[in-house]
Amino acid sequence: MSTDNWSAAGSGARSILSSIITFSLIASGVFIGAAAAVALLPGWLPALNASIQALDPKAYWYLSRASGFAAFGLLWLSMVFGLLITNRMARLWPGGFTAFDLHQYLSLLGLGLTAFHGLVLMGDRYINYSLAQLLIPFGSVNYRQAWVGVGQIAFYGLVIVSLSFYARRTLGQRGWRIVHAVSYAGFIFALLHGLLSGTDSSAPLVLAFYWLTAVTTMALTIYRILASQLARGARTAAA
Amino acid sequence: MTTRTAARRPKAGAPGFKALATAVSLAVTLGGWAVMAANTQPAGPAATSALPPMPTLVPTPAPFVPQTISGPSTTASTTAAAANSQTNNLTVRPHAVTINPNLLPGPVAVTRSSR
Repeated sequence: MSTDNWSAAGSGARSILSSIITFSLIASGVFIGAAAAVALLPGWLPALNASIQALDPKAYWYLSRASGFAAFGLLWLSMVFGLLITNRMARLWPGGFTAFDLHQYLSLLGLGLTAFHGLVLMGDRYINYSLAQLLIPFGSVNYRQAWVGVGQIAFYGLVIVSLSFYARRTLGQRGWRIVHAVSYAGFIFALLHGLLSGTDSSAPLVLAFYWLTAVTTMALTIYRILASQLARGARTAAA
Repeated sequence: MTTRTAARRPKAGAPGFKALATAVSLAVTLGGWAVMAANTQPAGPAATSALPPMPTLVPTPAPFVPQTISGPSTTASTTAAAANSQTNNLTVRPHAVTINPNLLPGPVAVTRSSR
């Protein structure tokens, strides 16, 4: 058997193994989700029902708060994968292309959840937002105007960065980098929005989450700056 | 002779991780809603009927007791005795109160002060 055939056989085996791992991850996710639903739903259903059917239903408010956390987590993960690409740590894990694919996917998923986080508040009778108040930055006169406005600006920053994936050729490398620099501001604004307009910010678990996201993003950014300076220094020395 | 092979296109990233991220974000959203709803005590009939009966704030006045004046009847003593006889002997007596649960206001609306 020639070397090419061995190589093809190895590639096929890796592909099968990758498919098995993917299937196992999805199947275990479905199983865990179903088991959790069976275990928890009977206990939670009365409270969920009450939050929808009360005179002043709070389900919209709760959904907005919960989806805000999920959206911020996705934004953070997207930042992490983006930084792993630029500081070349993605070569170790999970691979350059996979990291880029996940970076793009998580960014778009985060954008969708962020839109849900805002729009679902239109159902809340207490805060009583109009569509204009939700779309125009600092239009939230009913609730923590300044920090909600900061969150709205973060959302528009995220929109610009996410759409830039589809205009990369038009933007060029320099334009792409400039647009991507907006994501840092977007992340910081989103963090401030969560900390200062969120009602759960005083909870220890929530604070720990915010600290984790801030510290990891900062550490990866510092590593990226140092790695690029070292590489530039090495190139200069070699030339 | 060399054969031309098609340029290798990288496969789609990590579908398992994508599915996991999507499932976890949905679980956080729905689970967060459920936890927040469960942590808020709903106001129900049990909360209102468990209230203790209200105390009687204004007691029933004591029945009138006619005053008698003993001793020599002088103008001064009669005036003083009449003035001194107005004693305030108010006593609070236990008074059973029945509360009709149907007449009580509905469930207490929980304000958003906790927001």
